[in-house]
Amino acid sequence: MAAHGGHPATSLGLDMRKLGMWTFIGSESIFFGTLIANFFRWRGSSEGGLGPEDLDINLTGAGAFVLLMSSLTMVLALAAMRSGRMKQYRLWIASTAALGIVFIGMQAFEFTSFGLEGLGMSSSLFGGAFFALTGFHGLHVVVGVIWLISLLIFGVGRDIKPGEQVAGDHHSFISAEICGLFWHFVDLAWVFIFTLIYLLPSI
Amino acid sequence: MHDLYRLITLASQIAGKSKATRWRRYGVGRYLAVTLAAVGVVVLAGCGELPQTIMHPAGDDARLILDLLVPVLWIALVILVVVVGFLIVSMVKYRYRPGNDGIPPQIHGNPRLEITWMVASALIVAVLAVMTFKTMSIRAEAPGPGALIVEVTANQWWWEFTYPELDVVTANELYLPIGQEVDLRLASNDVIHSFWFPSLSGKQDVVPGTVNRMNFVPEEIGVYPGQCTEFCGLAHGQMRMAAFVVSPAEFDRWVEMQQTGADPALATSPGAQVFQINCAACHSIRGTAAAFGQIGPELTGIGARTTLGAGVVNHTPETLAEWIRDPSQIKPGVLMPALGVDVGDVPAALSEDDITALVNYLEQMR
Amino acid sequence: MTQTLPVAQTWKSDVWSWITTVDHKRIAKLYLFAAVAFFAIAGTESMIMRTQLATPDGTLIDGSLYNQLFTMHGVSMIFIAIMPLNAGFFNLLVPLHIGARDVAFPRLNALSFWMFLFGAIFLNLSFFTGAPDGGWFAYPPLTGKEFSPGTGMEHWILGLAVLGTSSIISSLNFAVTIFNLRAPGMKMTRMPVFTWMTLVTSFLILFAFPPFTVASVLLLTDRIVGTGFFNPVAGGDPVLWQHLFWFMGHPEVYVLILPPMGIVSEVLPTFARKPLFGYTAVVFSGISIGFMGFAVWAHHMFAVGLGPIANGVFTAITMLIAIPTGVKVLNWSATLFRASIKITTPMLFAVSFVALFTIGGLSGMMHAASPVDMQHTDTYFIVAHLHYVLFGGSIFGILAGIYYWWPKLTGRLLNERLGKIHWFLAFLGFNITFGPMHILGNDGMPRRVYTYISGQGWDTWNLVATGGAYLMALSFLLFAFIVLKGLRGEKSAGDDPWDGATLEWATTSPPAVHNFDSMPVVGSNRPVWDGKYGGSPAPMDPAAAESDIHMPKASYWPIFVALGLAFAAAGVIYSYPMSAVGVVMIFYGTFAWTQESTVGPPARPSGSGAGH
Repeated sequence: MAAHGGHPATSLGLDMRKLGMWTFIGSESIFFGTLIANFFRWRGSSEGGLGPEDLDINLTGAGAFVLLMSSLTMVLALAAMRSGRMKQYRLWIASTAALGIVFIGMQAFEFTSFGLEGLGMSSSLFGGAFFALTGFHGLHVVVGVIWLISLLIFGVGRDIKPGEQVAGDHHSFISAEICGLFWHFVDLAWVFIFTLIYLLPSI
Repeated sequence: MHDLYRLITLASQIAGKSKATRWRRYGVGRYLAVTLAAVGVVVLAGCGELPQTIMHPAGDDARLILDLLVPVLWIALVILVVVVGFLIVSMVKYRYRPGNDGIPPQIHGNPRLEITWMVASALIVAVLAVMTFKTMSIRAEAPGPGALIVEVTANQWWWEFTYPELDVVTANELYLPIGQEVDLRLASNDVIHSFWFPSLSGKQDVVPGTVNRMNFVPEEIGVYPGQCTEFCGLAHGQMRMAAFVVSPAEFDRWVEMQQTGADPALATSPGAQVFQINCAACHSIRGTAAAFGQIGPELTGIGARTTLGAGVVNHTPETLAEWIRDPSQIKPGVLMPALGVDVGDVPAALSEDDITALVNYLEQMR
Repeated sequence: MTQTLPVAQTWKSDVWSWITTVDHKRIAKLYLFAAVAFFAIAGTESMIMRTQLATPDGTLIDGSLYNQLFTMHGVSMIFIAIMPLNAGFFNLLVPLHIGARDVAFPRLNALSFWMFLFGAIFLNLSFFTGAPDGGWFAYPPLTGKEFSPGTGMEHWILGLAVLGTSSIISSLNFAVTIFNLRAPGMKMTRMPVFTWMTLVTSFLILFAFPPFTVASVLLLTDRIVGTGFFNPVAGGDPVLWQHLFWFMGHPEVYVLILPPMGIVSEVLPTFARKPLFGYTAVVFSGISIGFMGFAVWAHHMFAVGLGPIANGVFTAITMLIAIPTGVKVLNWSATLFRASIKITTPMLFAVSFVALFTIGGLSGMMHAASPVDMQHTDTYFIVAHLHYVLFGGSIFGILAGIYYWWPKLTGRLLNERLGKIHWFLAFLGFNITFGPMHILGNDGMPRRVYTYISGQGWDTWNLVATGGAYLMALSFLLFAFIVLKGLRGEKSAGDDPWDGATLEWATTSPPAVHNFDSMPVVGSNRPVWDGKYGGSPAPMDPAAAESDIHMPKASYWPIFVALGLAFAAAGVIYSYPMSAVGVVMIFYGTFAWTQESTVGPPARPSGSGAGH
């Protein structure tokens, strides 16, 4: 049963952790789907306060762009690791994390300005649904950023020699790849949220 | 019952055809039939003492539902007897016998048989579905123009009934004229409750924030108990009510009594003063000055009510006095304060004389 | 629990080895024993309730305690009794069934167990400060802050959050294991039915729990932050809760019944000495039940007032589920046809499972018709229905599994004569308790009432039901005795005491740390049987025994992280600094976990091989 590295060969040919991350993403999709559905239920309940029409598309559009760029940097990081260009790998991971932090900053700014204008979690049902959805998404981004930073700190890829061609099932590659999967999911979730919550009302 | 006996005897005959159980061929059928009959007798016995049963409908909706339930029940019983019968027979007939150590035929399946019984199940389901949709379409019919409108407001843990067209408000006892369709509008003041008179109709949840509708026609004169059937807190188990289905004449008499309310001559009685001071903040009685209390049950006509506390205890002058003194002794969790006993260092608001006068006053509200 | 391995890894028996274990067989034992303990607590809760209801106007307990008891009984039986019992079987059997040495993520497996244990303890601690008393389904507005002040509901929300997370992680583990760790030749279409049911159950949990997580977060913010999602006074919608809850709640009941159905699908053929009739149909039915189970949630809401169209759609789909369910029942029954039935204790439980589950399924068919449900819902008829499927169904199936796999787990057989007496008392007691409840429901007795008045015609049957409950309790005392007896004595069961068909019987009882000495060779869905009687080679070849087997290393990070989650949840009620400590523990523990090496010391073949 032992394949190489002490790990058993897999029936589907997919790495265990990759399959695990895909399964987890499936479950999380339902989670976000429910939060989005809940938002749609309460879209119209602004109760005189700020409502969907007050959402700042410019800022959050920029945020969506930032997040999309961070997915690009993530892809570049994995490509770099693949061909043993470890310095570039670390650079691109750091960029991804930085872009993630920029996004969080934008969210924090948006939340604060809403708060100052009287929209909080309990000020209206719209507010509650909005912050529940975007809050949980933001939480996922924070977890992703911490994960990215820990990839750097704990030196994933330390065992790869410069210039080495890394096989798709190399331990370090998988480690970074599942972080990438999670990150892409978080980005894709934002694409959905941005489209459904921010773009739709203004069409 | 006779058909059931024949069915069982037939089943045992089929079973008896196998050599292994020849000696049980008819015995099983007979014993089984007698047992079932006995169970049936026990089940059906005491029909009279089953006031809240769904099996003796007195309203068109309950009857409609029972007309669906009975055939479904028979289908279920037949399937049950076939399946369980097969299991029992198999356990006996195909039991391992010492010496028979060979391996039985390794049957992996039988696609023809499997498809057949899948189709058969689908047919049974289709039959059930058709019957069900028929019943549903009848139940979905809106009430007619001549229906009696009753607004039901559920509270923790009592029921208020308002007849808006008749300007009548009462609590816990629902008077209905026989033969006239009732158009119920169900609302709640607090949590989710459920309105259920099993003899008259199916139940309907009462959800705060919406008004649910239900209609039925009471078909037999009588008194029918009902109960809240959605868990609503501490005293959910004590949230009862009664429906009085009466003749149209009796109904009109009751409506008039409720509309007029208290005899003005009673206004100067000592009980009336006690009521004014202590009770009017929560309760109201038509025809008295204290017609503003909206928190507790409407007490117009309370003298005639058969129970107190939403069906918790039978109404007598003694129980009424007990209730006024300290209702939580009768119905733990009730929101009505205890006015006749000291609570901590707060002395009782009502003396025993007060309570007696109050009871005398209230007993005349009929 | 010592194996005579020449060198290296043996089973240690000290407490620390249990706390740090990542071995699926040990985790199975942990799940089973913990679940039985919580089952006993939940059972005691129901005994108190039945005693209170034995007579009208009972005065044993007051309404407040009764409401806490029925709430905790429901929550406990579902989440910390039946689900972990099922998890115990997943853990014991899935790797053995597919020819693997352990699950895909052994430390995650341990994490799931410790999360379950701490979540269950946390939930039960609520009895000291006021247990949740809003029903296991916790409908707002009753469970909002206004009508349920106090911390009971926070215990419910946070306890279930921890337990739900445990289940989701466990499901992820088993899904990946089943997809990815099968021995060569173990195609999906050759897997035992039990393993198939594990897979379906895993997907049910993965997709059904997230909406419930959302709902409970929203209820928590309603209570703590003042949002109004379910508060009609604030413009919220109590029915939204019901939709979100039952979207989880209905798949949940299939989570509870599918694994025991899988157990019965293994036990019946073994003691009938023939294959399960229609393996493909049984598997397919399980999958379609899982699928359709997502589409019927509102049959729990027929009386809420969704309207005839919604009620009609849900009636139709609910009735459709009867078809695959009926297929299973018929296939189990047909397995007995022309069999050579050995009537053992597990066989008695398995066959009575089929009968009792059929009764429960048929009563369910009756109120699948929404008009009938308008009379049945919230009455004792539903209590009868649910207990026939969950007790006569799930519990009886689980008991069959315990008697059947006890020898594999411990190397000892449970006493057969006492077992049969246990079955008889349980069967009798169960039917005496819940049979009359059909009548009580039809006669108008509502659920969740702490007392009732005389003159309704309910007195006799309530007394009978309570008598039955005491008989059931007696049967469980006997069972406890049987189990305790089954923990001592010689391990003389042998590899294959029941002449079984599937891979777990190809290795020792109990299995070595590494399960199989070499990769099993699989050519059908009954590899061991075909090796004995079918002319195929035996799945285990002693000559192929491997010499360099590495099992995953034990680790204390799972219990550490689980404790962190427990503190994080509990701190919301007890003290926010506790939550902060918990969050730090989660992060620190996760980091340490990812950095630790997983390769354990080598295990050597046990030398006893398999198949002899």
